[in-house]
Amino acid sequence: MAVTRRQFMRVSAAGIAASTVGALGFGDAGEALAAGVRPFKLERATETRNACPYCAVACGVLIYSMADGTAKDAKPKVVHIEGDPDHPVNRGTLCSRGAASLGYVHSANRLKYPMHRKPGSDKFERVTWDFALDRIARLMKEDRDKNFVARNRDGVTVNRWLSTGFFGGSSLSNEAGYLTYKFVRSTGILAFEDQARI
Amino acid sequence: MGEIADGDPVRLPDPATVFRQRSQRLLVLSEGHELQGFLRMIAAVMAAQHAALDGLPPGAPDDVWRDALRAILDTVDPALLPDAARQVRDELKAASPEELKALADHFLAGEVAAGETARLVFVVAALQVAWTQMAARLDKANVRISEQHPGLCPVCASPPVAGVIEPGGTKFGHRHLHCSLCATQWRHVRVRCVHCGSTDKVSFRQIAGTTYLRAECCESCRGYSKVFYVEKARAVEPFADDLASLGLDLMVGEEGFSRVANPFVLGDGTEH
Repeated sequence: MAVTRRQFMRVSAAGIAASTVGALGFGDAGEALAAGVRPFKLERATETRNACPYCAVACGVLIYSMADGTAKDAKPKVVHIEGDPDHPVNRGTLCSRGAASLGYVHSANRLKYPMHRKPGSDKFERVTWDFALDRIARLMKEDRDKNFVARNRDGVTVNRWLSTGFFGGSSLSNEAGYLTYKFVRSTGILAFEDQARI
Repeated sequence: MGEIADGDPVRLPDPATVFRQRSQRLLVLSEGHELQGFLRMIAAVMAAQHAALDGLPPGAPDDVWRDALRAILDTVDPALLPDAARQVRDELKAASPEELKALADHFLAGEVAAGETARLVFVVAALQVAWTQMAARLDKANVRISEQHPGLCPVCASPPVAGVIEPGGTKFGHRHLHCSLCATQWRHVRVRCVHCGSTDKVSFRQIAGTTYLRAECCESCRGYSKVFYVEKARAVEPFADDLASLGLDLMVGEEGFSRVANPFVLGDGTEH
């Protein structure tokens, strides 16, 4: 039984010799082909679907990456970003900011870690995520304790906190947007832009 | 509301050009190729397909494919056929209608016997001509891509031979798969396995230095299919370019990935 037009077949030099090609009298073709590609390397690349991080339109992007250098376990490097033609919102297009997002990925000024500028200091210093989250939580709590309004002038329960606002992320998924909303509203914050449009 | 720009979901073949383009492209690609003899022979078969389609009476594929076969066997340039192929051509000329029907049925149903592959080159060529003629006569507004099997041809349910991505934004940049039998093209979402539909474990392999061709490999089903980027090579003809890029198949095969065969390179089915 031959491999048919619907089954999987793994192509090999011996397989080509035993296929239609060999049956037609080109028996050496498989070996010749193998010798022809032997000097070449096979590179691994990816095209990854994602959402543009810039605004709440959340255009679909394709991120092209390639393994750099010769090592087999070399870390892939992002080489190109373009609009995803299959995405229903932007259909392959991007605005000038989105189209330039490769520069953002490789920018020397890109923010990669939480940074902290102490009161009175003139420079940012790298801090741990634990420090940053503890600090934000502490400041939010102090502000909320001071400014939370449980009842308005007429004695009606309002439970609102007007002195702090919150920004969500434009590329948050539906689920992350839901959790963000639940968290922010549970604190009483009213000034809230979730940005979740995906 | 303005009109929404969208690419063609389905493109039907142009019978006036499809086989001539294949033949001409393959002839160019065969120059200095390791498979030069084989590729030049297939290019000659494709040229004969073009002539056969030109003179084919309209009719259902089942009714007219033997006319196409006769025309191909009569017009294919014998100078480009090796002895084995010339012998096969003569056998087919003398074959009874029942024998020919059996060969066609084996190919279409996917039950090819090991000794049939050489004869099938001419039989498949004739079936392609007949099915392409039929596909070209359809109204593309009536052709719907299957939701269950988006990786199979919406006209004849054959597997694709390769995919092509055209450059640009808004209306382009889509992948169109090319039918291995009737030359219809249909849209298939990029970075999505043609065989199993998986999207999360798809990566690409390319021979170092070539950018116009990649193998889209799926870790889920261990299958792959070729993707040609027209942006990097304007003259791509997926059927011809697939045959001329068997070297990539060798390398991807070494990594353990499998493909659905080009109908002109049916294997013998054993594991190697």
